[in-house]
Amino acid sequence: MADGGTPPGGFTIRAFGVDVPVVRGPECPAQDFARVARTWEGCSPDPAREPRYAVPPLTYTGPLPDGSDAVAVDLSSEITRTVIDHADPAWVLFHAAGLAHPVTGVAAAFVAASGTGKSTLARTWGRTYRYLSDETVGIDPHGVVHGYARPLVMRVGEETGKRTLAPADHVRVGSGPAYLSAIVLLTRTTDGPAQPVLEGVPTLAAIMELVPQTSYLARIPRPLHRMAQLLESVGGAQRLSYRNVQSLGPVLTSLLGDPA
Amino acid sequence: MTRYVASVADHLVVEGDSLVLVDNQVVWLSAVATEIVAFLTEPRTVAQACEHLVEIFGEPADPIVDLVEDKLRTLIDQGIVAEVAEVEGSGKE
Repeated sequence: MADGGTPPGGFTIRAFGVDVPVVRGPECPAQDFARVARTWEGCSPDPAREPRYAVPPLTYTGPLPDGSDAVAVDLSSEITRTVIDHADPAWVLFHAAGLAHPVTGVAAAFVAASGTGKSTLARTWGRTYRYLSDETVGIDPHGVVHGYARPLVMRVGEETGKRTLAPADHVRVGSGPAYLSAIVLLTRTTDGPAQPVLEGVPTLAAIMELVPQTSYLARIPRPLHRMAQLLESVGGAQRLSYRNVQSLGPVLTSLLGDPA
Repeated sequence: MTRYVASVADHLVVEGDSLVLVDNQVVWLSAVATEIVAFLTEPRTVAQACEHLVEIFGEPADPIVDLVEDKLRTLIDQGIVAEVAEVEGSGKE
């Protein structure tokens, strides 16, 4: 798949240690299957490492007769649910965008609810920094941040429906470990400060905000203590209040380092 | 004599206040509620809880029995504390 070849019958996605095979439905054109496979290249398994879990294959049945990419969009959602469902309970999975310094691997998780700026931040600054995810980041017990470079789902041109796109065509997808150095609570508002403000958040207040954005909190052993340890390891949570994502350059430099 | 015991999945105390995890919900507790929950790791009476709070926070101007009973009712409603059924003759003050 990585060499640009067409996967004959299927490909495998790995995220958060979970393998999800995807097979081509009998009616699916080979060319479209290859396109979808390419959108998932950011989640190709490392053959040198075993998955912690593997689920039965999912089937991609191909585009709808009107050319809509809705099936691939739905498949992306199903794969996301699947990998989160079966992730290691020792990992903390935040509903967050993730960025890392392209050389040092210094990484930050930008935690926020859906529709409040994660994707815009990740896609805008994922061209400058290493893009980890616009959806979910996993943090293992060693503080290593695991991204989830699923296909980008966005509208293209004047189309009414959304399409799945290969992250590598739009953002800077890299490899190698990324290390958590900041947990940032995003607060983007139209009347937010013109100059972004980054400020500390007390531990309990931060955890109260993080909990709704944490997958399967109750399956994490002593989850509140784990959250507190995680926050302590990065010097506490920070809140980033801003109005315009383009204004975040200096803040990201302070969090992740100069990407130049 | 009714006794009470706390039952939570996790209890994180930071600078007096705390968070508890109970039934997949996280609840923020005040300093007084935090001390009550921490004290009720084994079944205790209201009188014992009052005595413990006085040790922690000092002698109040007014009796705190009503306050403690009120806190316990709230904690019971939140599923954090439960009444313990007494076996006849097993209670002691």
